[in-house]
Amino acid sequence: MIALLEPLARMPGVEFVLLISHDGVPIAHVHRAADPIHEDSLAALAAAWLNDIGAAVAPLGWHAPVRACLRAARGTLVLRRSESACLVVCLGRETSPEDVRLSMDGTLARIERAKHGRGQAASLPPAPIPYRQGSTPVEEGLSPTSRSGQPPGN
Amino acid sequence: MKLLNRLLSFGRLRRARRALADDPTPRNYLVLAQQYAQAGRTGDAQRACVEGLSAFPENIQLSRYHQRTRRAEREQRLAELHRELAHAPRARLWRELCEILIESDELARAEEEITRWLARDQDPEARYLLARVLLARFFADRGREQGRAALAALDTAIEHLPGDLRPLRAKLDFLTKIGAWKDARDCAARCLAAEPGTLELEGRYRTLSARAEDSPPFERALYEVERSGKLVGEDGLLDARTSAGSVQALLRELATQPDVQAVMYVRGSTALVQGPKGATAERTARSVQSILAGSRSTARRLGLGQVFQVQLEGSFGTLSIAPGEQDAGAILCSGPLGRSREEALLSMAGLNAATGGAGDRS
Repeated sequence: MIALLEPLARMPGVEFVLLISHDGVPIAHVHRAADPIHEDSLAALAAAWLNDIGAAVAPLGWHAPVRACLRAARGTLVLRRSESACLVVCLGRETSPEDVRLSMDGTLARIERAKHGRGQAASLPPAPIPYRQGSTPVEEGLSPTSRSGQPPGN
Repeated sequence: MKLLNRLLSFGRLRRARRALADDPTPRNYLVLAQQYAQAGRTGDAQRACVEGLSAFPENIQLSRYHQRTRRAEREQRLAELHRELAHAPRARLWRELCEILIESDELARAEEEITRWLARDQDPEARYLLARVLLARFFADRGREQGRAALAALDTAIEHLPGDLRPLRAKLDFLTKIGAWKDARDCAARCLAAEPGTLELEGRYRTLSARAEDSPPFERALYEVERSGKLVGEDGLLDARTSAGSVQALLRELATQPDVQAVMYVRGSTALVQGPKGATAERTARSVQSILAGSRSTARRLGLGQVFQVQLEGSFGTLSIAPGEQDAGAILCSGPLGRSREEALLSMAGLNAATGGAGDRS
């Protein structure tokens, strides 16, 4: 998971990258800042903020926001929410949240893909007949039905 | 290129001046200022804005453009100062540079420059400016740590500038604002010793002496400021309407744009809303106030300092909130916010406008 966060953390201006669950439990983090940041408290505060926002906009019939930015005097906090987790990025004073928008979206998409990939692999039952190692490659342009012995077009 | 630009802009400038002479409207003042700015004459652009503002003090667009030209001129001067300092560093240039940075609230940059200045020559003026930076940081954040740092820096400046009343006065203001009356009275006494017979100082000394009886100690006063987030006398300030005009015009202008769903100006418990009506307007304003309170609290807990902007994106669109000291502007649009709308929003925050005009209120 850290390998997925590393490219984002290497971007100029990014001080801390943290992946948290929706209830504020830190999953993974990478930081470049000189001052150590307590990931537990940052995770808890970020999740609490996002939940507060969700509660504030609920009376309007809105879903919880997928992206939230908090620009302040000494830095910026950017949160990007997905189905299963929330990506938290702390930026330096000079960096704009727009600079990391694409990277954050990409990182979170990769994390989701990795999670779904693992989930699917874990949920699939083992094949009844194992594939042979030296099986012939599937020919291009042939539909699955044609591979099962039926002539194409029928 | 610059000369060519000037030659090309000559005709446009002449037309803009003639249009203004025929019809002196805020729009024509703005056009003239824009033409001056395009020609690189930021000083003239500023003068056009000042003239326009003296005739139409309520106009938000003019005041916004005036701020922008001032910012551009300031950046230009900063670049010049940096160039001069690279070639021949001297105290007068450092001082001007740091003062511009402090006045424009760029405290981190100011502190960096002062540190460089102090490393080069231990100028006592630099210590005073450092104290001003730390004071400004305390007034923005209101934390105990910043308060202690500011007081220590002020004491150092007083020590290094014995004949100068500025650090003493700054310390007096600081102690008065946090409500440490006894310490403030002692400081006023020191100011009077340096400048005997000053009526204003004598008056302050008498007031502080009367309050010194039940004065909290310095640490307790700092703790109270940190807890409440308010300096002494700020409750009264909340009622003072210092605005040069109403924000109604700006709200209406923003609300007419096609993808804007709602525009709000929030101050205290009053909200001016353009877009949604009735209960929806009320609910939207309440949500914005709730988000704002939560965001301010989160920023304080994370040590991020004063909040400049909160932006939320989701299936509802983009909601952007720009909080000022006592007020906030908010805009809800279906698409991205965009540069011009963001600037308009940021200019709305801190207007401290009177909310007594027409419009949907909640």
